[in-house]
Amino acid sequence: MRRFIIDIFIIFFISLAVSFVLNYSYQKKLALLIAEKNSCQKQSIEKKPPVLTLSDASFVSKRDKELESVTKSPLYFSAKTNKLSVSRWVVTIELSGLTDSAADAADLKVIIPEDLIATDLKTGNAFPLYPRQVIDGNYLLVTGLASPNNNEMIFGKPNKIFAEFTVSAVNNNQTSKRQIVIDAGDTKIYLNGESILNTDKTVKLIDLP
Amino acid sequence: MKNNQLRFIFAVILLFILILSSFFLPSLNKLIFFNRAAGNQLDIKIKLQGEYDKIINATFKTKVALYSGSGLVKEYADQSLTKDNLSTFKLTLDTTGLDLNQTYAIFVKPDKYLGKLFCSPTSYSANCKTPQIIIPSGTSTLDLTQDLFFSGDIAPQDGKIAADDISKIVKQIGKTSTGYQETDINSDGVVQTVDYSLALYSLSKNYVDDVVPSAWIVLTPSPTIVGNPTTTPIPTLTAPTATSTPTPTISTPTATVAPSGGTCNAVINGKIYGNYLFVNFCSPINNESASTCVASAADCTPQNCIEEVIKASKAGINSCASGGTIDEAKSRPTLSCQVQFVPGNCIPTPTPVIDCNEDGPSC
Repeated sequence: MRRFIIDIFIIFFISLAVSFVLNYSYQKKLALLIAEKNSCQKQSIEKKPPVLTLSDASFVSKRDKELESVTKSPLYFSAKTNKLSVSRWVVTIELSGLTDSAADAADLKVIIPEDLIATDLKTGNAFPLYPRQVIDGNYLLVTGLASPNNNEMIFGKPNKIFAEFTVSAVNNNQTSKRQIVIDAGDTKIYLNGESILNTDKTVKLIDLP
Repeated sequence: MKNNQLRFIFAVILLFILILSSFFLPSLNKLIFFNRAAGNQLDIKIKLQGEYDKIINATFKTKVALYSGSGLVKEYADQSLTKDNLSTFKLTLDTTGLDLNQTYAIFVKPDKYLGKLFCSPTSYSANCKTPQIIIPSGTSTLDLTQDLFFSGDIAPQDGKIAADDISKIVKQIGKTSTGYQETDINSDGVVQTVDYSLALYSLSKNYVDDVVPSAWIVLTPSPTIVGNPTTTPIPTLTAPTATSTPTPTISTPTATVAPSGGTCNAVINGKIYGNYLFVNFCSPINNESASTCVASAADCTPQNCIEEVIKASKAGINSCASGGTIDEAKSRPTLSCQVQFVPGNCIPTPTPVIDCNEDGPSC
């Protein structure tokens, strides 16, 4: 009986050792195969060239065609004010510059002081698309973008109204000069990935007479 | 002799069973051969805006910052955010050496995306006021897929989406590359109108990086008790929801005000097809109930119901995606309304608020 138990233990440890050795090599081989499979898969994916869809190709051709027809020259924002009453003004911001120039994106940020309130924000016709029109407490932010339409890409065009809004004074009795400020950091005009903002000509302070 | 034969047979069977069992129990094998003493690590799961089901190798360099209530604790730059599942991505942080008794807030900012601040999986962005995340020892997973990360903040990242970002994308549309392209938002190797559309969506919503409370940035001289460890939720595995196309959720119409007559109850099925800047989308309507007040039974017709669905869909796309259109010709044939007129007083239900942030299901 004692001999039998010893035999069982010997057989058990031998078989355990054999199985571990076999498994170790099996796992190594398996890991290698998995790595090989993943690498092949990755290669086949990486080799696959990215494809441009028909609508993207159409977008590219419209954009390039339109870019050829515009002159890349600096644009700027100019402002006009129209006094409605003692404490109310309409401010019109225009995209200005040479007539044959264009822009594909523009941001206008106006800082509104605490004693003034901006309301009635309207977008103009300088850009075909105005996806962002925000009046948020102390600032006003408008973004105009170029947009594809049928067979052409419509860029933002100068000497047209960019945005128009009304400014009202909170305190009617104030006698000091009232002004709103164009945020130079967040006001941008871009064409084809490059800034075309004429910072010198862009209005910085708008007086409210 | 008989004993020896028995012993031999027993030994062979035992050997066979052991070899077989170790093959079929790889975990046991791994436990023995491959277990390593691991340090602390935290797997963070997030969900990115965009369709990633067909983009296999999308990877984003990501900045992660850990804040306690008294300031920045640790910053991780260029962490590799890799695709985990559909639009869910995963990154791993080595949290060895961090104070595990502390509660944290985590700011995550992937390349090309806006940054988000999480105080817990369910408390994020403007609602993130007090760090509540407990980082356990060992390996754990923090599921932050409750909210989408929005894209468009391309290099150099400034925490917002502006005219320059959009203009750069427009310029690059059509460019293909197997390498890194700053304007290829979804990292599929080609800059296309989808990338433009993704950025445009974030811009139209005026999304910006979440702001880290100033109290966490400036070190306060006398730290007070931050959070309540007993009530702090431990990061849990939460099932991700929905897809992440920038298409708005189009709610089926309910109620408009009508003087009397009755209620027109409808069950609507079908699909709404549309286009938003070259990107076609399809929003399914499956057995959605709607009701509206009508003047008479004659007004409660399937045709009127379909008109209302189209009208509501247009309103939805107009309010969520300026410039988007509904393809009526394609949508109409798919729509069906089962209507039932209930005479009597009709209480108009309010028009549902369209949640443009919620990504609707896709066909």
